[in-house]
Amino acid sequence: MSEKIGVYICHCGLNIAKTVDCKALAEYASHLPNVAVARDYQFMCSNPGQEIIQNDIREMGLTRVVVASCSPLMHEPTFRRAVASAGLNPYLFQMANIREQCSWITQNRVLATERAKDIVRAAVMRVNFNEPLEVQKIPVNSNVLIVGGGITGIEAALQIADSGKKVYLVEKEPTIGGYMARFDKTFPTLDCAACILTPKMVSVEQHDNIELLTYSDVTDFSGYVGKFTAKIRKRPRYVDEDKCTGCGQCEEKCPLSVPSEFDCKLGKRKAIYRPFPQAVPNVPVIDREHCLYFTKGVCRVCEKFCAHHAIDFEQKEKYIEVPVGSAILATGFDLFDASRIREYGYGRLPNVITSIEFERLTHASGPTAGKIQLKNGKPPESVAIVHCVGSRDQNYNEHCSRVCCMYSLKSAHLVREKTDAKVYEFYIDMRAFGKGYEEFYKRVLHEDVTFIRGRVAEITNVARDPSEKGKLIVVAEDTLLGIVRRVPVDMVVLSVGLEPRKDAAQLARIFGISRSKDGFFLERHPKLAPVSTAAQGIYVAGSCQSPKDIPDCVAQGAAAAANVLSFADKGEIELEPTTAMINDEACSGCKICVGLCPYLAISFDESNNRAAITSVLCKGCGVCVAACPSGAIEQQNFTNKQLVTEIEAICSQDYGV
Amino acid sequence: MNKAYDKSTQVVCKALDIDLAELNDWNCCGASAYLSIHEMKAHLLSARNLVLAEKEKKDLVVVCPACLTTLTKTNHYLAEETRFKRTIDTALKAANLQYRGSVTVRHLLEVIVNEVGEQEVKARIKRKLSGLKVAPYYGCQLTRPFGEIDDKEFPVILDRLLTWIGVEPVDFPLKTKCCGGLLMMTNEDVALGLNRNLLDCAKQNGAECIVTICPLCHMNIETYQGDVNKMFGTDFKVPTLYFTQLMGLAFGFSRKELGIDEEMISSRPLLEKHFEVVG
Amino acid sequence: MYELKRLAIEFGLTPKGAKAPVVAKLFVDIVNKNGRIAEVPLVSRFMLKTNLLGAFKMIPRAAKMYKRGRMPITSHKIEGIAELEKCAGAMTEPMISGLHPGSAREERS
Repeated sequence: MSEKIGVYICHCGLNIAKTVDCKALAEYASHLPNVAVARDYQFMCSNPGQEIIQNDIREMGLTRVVVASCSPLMHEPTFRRAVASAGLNPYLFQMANIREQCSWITQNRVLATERAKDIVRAAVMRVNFNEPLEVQKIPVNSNVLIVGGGITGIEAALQIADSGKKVYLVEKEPTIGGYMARFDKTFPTLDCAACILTPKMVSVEQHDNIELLTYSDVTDFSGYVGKFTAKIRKRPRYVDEDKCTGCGQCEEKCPLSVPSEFDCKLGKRKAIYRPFPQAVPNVPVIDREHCLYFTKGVCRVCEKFCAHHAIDFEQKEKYIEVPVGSAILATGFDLFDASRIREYGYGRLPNVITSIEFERLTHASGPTAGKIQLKNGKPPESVAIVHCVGSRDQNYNEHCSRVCCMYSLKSAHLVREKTDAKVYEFYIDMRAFGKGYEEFYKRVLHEDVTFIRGRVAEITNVARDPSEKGKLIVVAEDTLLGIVRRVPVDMVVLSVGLEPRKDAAQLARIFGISRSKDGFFLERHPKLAPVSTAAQGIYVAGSCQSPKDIPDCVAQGAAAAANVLSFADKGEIELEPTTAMINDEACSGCKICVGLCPYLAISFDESNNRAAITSVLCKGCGVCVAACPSGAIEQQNFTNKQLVTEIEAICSQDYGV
Repeated sequence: MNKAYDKSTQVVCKALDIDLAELNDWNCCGASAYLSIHEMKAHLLSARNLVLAEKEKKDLVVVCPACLTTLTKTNHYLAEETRFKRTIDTALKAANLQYRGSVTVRHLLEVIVNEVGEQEVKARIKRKLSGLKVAPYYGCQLTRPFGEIDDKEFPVILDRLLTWIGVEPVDFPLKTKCCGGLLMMTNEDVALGLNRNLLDCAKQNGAECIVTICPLCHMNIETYQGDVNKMFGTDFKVPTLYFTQLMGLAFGFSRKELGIDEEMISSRPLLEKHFEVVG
Repeated sequence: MYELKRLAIEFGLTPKGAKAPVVAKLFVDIVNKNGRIAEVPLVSRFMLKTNLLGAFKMIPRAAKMYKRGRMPITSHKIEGIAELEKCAGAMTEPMISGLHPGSAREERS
C-alpha cells in the first residue's frame, strides 16, 4: 500500500515568497509520486495554517506530511504537535527548509525556485521511509542538588523546598551566606547585608525539606536527567554537629589566634572558630593547619571546656551518595587578585586596599569595629576609589564586572558618612543600570565626592613636591580636563572585578557542562535560557554564570528553581526517540564507538562482545553512527535508507518521478 | 659614545669565560626611530640581524635594551605564520636570506645572572666594594613590554647581581621610569625633568652612584646632569656607571681598562672613598 | 601607536617645528646609507636643521666629550649594505602597512 503524502509550502509572508515561486513549487510537488495533495499558504505555522494540515489528515487519510518552510530548529516541534493532534504519529512528518537554506541565501528567483524543488522532492521521497516513533517517558527523581550556599543557592533552595521537594544544599565553607555575609551595606538601598541575609539563612537551616551539607563538596556526579547520583564529601569539622549547642566556649578558651579569612586577614580568629557570629550552622570548625593539637600534639583546651562533649579529634571525612533528579550550580565568584597589577602597588604600598577589605573595615563587626582607618590607626584625610581593577582590560579580564561602579559609589558614600575625608572617584564609565541605581549615583554626586574620569595609570609613593610627601599619589589622565593629574591621598580603595572561581574548571568537568570564553559557566542561550545549560537537568544561577548584583542573583536562583520544578513536579520527562541503535548481529566488537560518544552513552558488554547504547543518555548526535566501520549503528529517523533516498533525490531531478 | 660600555663588556665577559663574538657585519636595529617611518623595513633590519645570528648558531646577546626590544619584537612576530612573516620572508629571499626562527635574543645582564650564576661571579671578585650604595636603574625597556626577563614594574635582577659583587643596591622606586631617550634631542625640557626625578629619587634613597644597563640612559643621566642642575637649580653630581664597569672594578680591573676614565662626572672621589683605586 | 607617527609623516600632519619627525627621518637616511647609525652626523645635522643657536651652545659639551674620547668621528659602512638594499627593494608593503600581529589588517589576512 502506498503512502498518501500531504505537501505544504509556506510563503512565510515574503521571507520565502519573495524569492521562491511558491505556487509553482506547490504545482510541482503535486505531481511527485505518492503526493495526495500539495498546497501553499501565507503562514503555515499559524493556527489557520495548522488547521489546513489537520483537516487534510482527517479528511484525506494522509499517512505522511511534508511542510516546506523555515528551519526545523524554528518550527519542527510546532508542526509535529499539529500533526499529532490530528491523530498522525509526529515522526511521520518531515520538514523541508526552503528559507534559511534557500530563499535567504540568494536573490535569484529562478535559482531559488529550482533549489526549492530539489529540497521538496528530497523530503517527499524520504518521508516515505519515516517510521512512527514513540517518545520515551522516564520517571524523574524530584530531589534537587544545589551546589553553593550563597544568596543564589539559598533562594533556589527555599523556593524548591517550599514546593515540597527535597533539597540537598552543599556548601564548601563551614557556613552558608557566601560573599554577601561579608558586606556591610548593599546598594542602592543601603540595606544592611546581614540583616536581610541572616533570616534567609535561618529559614534554610530550619526547613524540613532542606538537608544542609556544609564544609562539603561534590566529588562526583553521574547519571542522566531525572536519575543522577551525587557523591558528596563531608570534610571533618572535628566537632559533632548534633551535640554542639553553639555556646562558643571553645572559641573563647582557644589559646591560638590566626588571621581571619572572613576578615580578609585584617582581623583574627581562633584555631577553633565560626567564620562569623551568625554562621549557619552555628557550629565551629577546627582549623587543622594551625590547631596546636594537630600540629604539635598539645592543648585540647576546647575539648576540656566543652560541656556537651562535642569536640571529636578523631572525626574522619565522610562520603555520601544521594539520588537527585536535577542539579543547580550556584557556586559564585572569586575576586580579582589586585597584586597582579604591579603599577597599583597592592601588597607593596600600605593603605592600598581592595574593596572587600574596605567592606570589612566599615563593617560594624569587622576588625576595626566599623572605623575606616589607615594601617597606623588614624582616619584618612583623603581616599581615592579606583574603578575597573582587573576588568575591561585585555591584559587581565576583558569583561565588565557589572557591580563595581555601584559598589564604588556605595563605598564613597560610606566614607563621606563616617569620616570627613575627601573622596576622589576615578572612573571610566558610570554603570548605574538597575532600579534605583541612577538615583543613588545622583545622591552620591551631591555628597561632595570628586569624580575624575580617567583610568588610573599608577599609584606611587614617590613625591615630586612637599604636598605629596607621605601620601599615596594616584596618577591618572583626567580625560574631561585633558590633563594628567597627580592626586595625593591617604588611602586607595581598588574596586576589584569579579572572575570565575578557581575551581570552576574542575566543577564544570564533574557536572559535564561547558564554560564560556571568560571562564564563567555557559548558559544554553544568553537571552532565552540564561539558567539552563546544554546538559539536561543541570542548571546554573547567580554569579557563577556571569558577574551580577544581588537582585539578579536572587532572580536567577528563583528562575533555576522554576526550571527544576517544571519537570520535578510532573514526575516524568519525555526523551526524543531519535536515538542511535546498535544492530547486534552486525556489531564486530571493535569498540570504536565507545570512546567517541560525548555523552558516555555507549558501554561495552564483554560477555557477548557487543557494544550497547543506553538510550536515555543518547542525544542523537550521530557520531557513533558515522564512525561504525561495520555500519552496525543506525539512528532512528535518520536511517541509511532515509538519508540515501534524500541524497539521491536531490542529485537526480527525475528520481522517482 | 659607548666605547666604555663596549670595553667593559669585553673585559668582564672574558673574565667570566663567556664566549662573546661580535656579530659579523651587523646592521642597526632601527630602534623606535626607523619604526616611526617605515614599519616593515624596520622589521627587515632586525630580521637581517637574526639571520646573521642564526648562521653563527649562537644566542644573540645585546647590551642595549632598545635593541633587545626591537629584535625580540621582530623575533616574536616571526614565530607565527602570518602575512607579516610572509612579507619579511619574501624580502629576505631577494638576497637569498632565510630565517628559520631558531635564535634567542637576550640581554647580557640576564645571561650573567641566569646562566653564569652567583658562584661564578663571586669566584672572580678580587676587590671589595663594600659600603658603596648604588641605585640600580633598569630603564623603561628592559622588562617591558614582554616582561620575560623579570617583573615589569619592579624587577630585581640587577639588584641581585649588585649584591653578588658586594655593593648595596638601594630602594629605587623609579627604577623602571624613562630617562627620556631621544627626547633629550627633540624635547629637552621634558627629558631633563624626567632625569631630575630619577636623580632626586636616587639621592633621597641614599644612592652614591647610579648603575645603568643602557647606553642612552647613561648618556642622559650623566652627560646632561649639568643641564638638569641649570634648569632646576639643583646640584647633582651623581657618577653613573655601566653594570659591566662596576663588575669589572670588583674583578680587579683598572679604571682605564673599563673605560671609566671617559666619564663626564668623575667617579674617582666616590671610588676612592670606598677602596683603593687602581689606574 | 607607531601607526599614528607614520600616518602623520605620510600625510604631512606633523606640527610646524616638531623635532621628532626630523630626527626620525635623519636616522632613517643614515641607516639606509651606512647600515649603522652614526651619532655625530645625526646630532650635527639635526642641530643644524632645527636649532642653529643650540648647536653653538653645544660646542663646549661636544669638546669635552671629544677630549674624553666619546666622539666617534668616523662612520662605518657595513659590507651587507647592498644586501639590505636588495631586501628593502623587494619589500612591497607601503610605509603604513599595519601588519604587526594583533592589528586589524593582520587579523583579516
